[in-house]
Amino acid sequence: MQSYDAIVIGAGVIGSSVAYHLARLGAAKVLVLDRLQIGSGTSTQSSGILRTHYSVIENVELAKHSWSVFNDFAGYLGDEEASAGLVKCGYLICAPDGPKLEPLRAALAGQERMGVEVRLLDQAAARELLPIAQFDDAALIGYEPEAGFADAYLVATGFARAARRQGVKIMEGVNVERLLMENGRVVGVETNQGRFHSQTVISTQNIWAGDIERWTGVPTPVKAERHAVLALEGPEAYSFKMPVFKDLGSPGMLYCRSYGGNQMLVSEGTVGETLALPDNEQGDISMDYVVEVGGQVAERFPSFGEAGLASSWTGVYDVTPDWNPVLGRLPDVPGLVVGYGFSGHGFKLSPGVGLVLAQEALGLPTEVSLAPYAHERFRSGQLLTGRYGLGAVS
Amino acid sequence: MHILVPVKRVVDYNVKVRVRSDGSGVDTNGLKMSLNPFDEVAVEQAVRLRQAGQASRVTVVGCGPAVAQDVLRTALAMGADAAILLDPGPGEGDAPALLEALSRLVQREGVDLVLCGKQAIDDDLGDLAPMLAALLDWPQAMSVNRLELIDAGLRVHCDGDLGLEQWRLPLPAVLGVDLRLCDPRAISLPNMMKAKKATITTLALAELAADQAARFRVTGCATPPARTAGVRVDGIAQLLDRLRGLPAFGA
Repeated sequence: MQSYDAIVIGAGVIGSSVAYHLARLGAAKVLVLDRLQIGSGTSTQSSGILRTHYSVIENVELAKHSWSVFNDFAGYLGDEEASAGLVKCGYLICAPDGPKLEPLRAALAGQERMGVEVRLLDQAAARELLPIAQFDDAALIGYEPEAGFADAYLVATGFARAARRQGVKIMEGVNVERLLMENGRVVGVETNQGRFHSQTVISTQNIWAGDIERWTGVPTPVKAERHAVLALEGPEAYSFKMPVFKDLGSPGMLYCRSYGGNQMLVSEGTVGETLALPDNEQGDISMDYVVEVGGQVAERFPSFGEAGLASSWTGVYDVTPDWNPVLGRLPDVPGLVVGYGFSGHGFKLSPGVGLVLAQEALGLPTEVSLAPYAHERFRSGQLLTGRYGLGAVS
Repeated sequence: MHILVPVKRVVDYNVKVRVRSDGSGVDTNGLKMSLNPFDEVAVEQAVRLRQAGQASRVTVVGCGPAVAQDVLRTALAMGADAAILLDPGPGEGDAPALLEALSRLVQREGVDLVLCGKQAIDDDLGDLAPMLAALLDWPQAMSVNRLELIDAGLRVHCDGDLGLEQWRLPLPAVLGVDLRLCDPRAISLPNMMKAKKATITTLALAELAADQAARFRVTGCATPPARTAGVRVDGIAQLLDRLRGLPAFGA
């Protein structure tokens, strides 16, 4: 019989981070099981944006902690070859007069209260940072210098390698088929490669978290939502020095970042296409959609009105009713800790989430209180809905 | 010179295809579909010839239900002048019927050069260009990776069994082009907007093909068996033994 101190289901950015932190906090025997390969689920589809800007203040704390890890990834992991692929270009966010203005003002003030450096810029200063954009409609512009983007696949594999160095066993191609229960508590998992035993199982299954509902009967308030990302090749460079940009004034609440050279990575920050079943396969992107998003881009970046479509792809979010994750124990299933429902903003939280879920699993005090993220909130109605409405900006 | 480019709508190369549970075919529901990359190269080459003044008109033709219009619009956005959709009706459109329709279309439209992708990435058959050339009784060259127009004819570089071959062909001709021929352009937003508004002519396949009798039948579709792990052998002698034991050596 194979017995472990903890078993983690899923080796994406969250699962790999949990595994690393379990080992770092002293768990001797940790097993990670992934149905395919490290980072091959939804992690690699991430746009990789890192910011602490949130209208939900709890997220600022998790994101702030996570940023400190991204900012010194090699040092944090004690692995000088590790890299998160971090491009520290800052994060610019703007809103015109209208319903997003006060939420933006409040969120920027919230960040400042949490000790995050944010600057309010006038239109001229914003143009200096992002000369390819126009800000004529901007009533409020916030800039967060300690932000940017990174590479989710590098982060998942970086955490996984650091975890392995600390003795964690990661098995790929192992599909968990059900939880093993004894006297009402979790005692392990059954897989297509046999049984593995542990008193602590941590599920980080993202869009496949519906498995938990099938295994335990406890509802998983998550739906799989497909979002499209475009790489537009413009006539002028969107350089690595230019900040990530969030456009609260556009109908799709666009986010944009450099994709190298003259290319801009752009996607909508609103509601996507709900899938009947969880599936991270590449979905169809219609020309109508490309033209629609391209039109929005051209409003903000006039020269990109002539841009070409260099590539496009889809990623899938595990969306909860309030667009924020469920973190912590499921009270009805002793021995089970969950982290799911990241709703498209899990990557930027992954180091912090890995830490707090590992702490929770080991019975230690958590760096950030998990109470607001409890599954219970969907019964009590104490939702974490952000002030920008539904969408990954949260 | 009027160039016709037959194009096919295929599952995007980034999609890992899955077989329908009843084994009747590949499940494409909701998945990313694209203009076949080989056909995309053919469209690019045709548009470049027109832009260089060596061709007067580029027409693209596809076969399938209304959704197949999307790859025709992609080709229009790349610069094709006109697009035709052959509607096979309720059937799938058998290859011989499609070929008959294409050969009629070639004659009707006064086509001088048919530029095909050398294969489609879904079935990898590569049958369209050689069969169409045979039907038309036109010269053909396959796996073309370089193309020049000289002396009212073509000079092409192709992959042959013995290496790189150079051919000269009179026009009209049918070519099957390789990916190395040229790099397709990124289609621009303004051209997409124009292509959205462009008219696509729809013709019933039956109108152009007298013989609709199905000659092919799909008997089944299955996922290839997963590859098994390799084995380590102790040395050369054992390796040779293992090799001699392979079916190709008559064991």
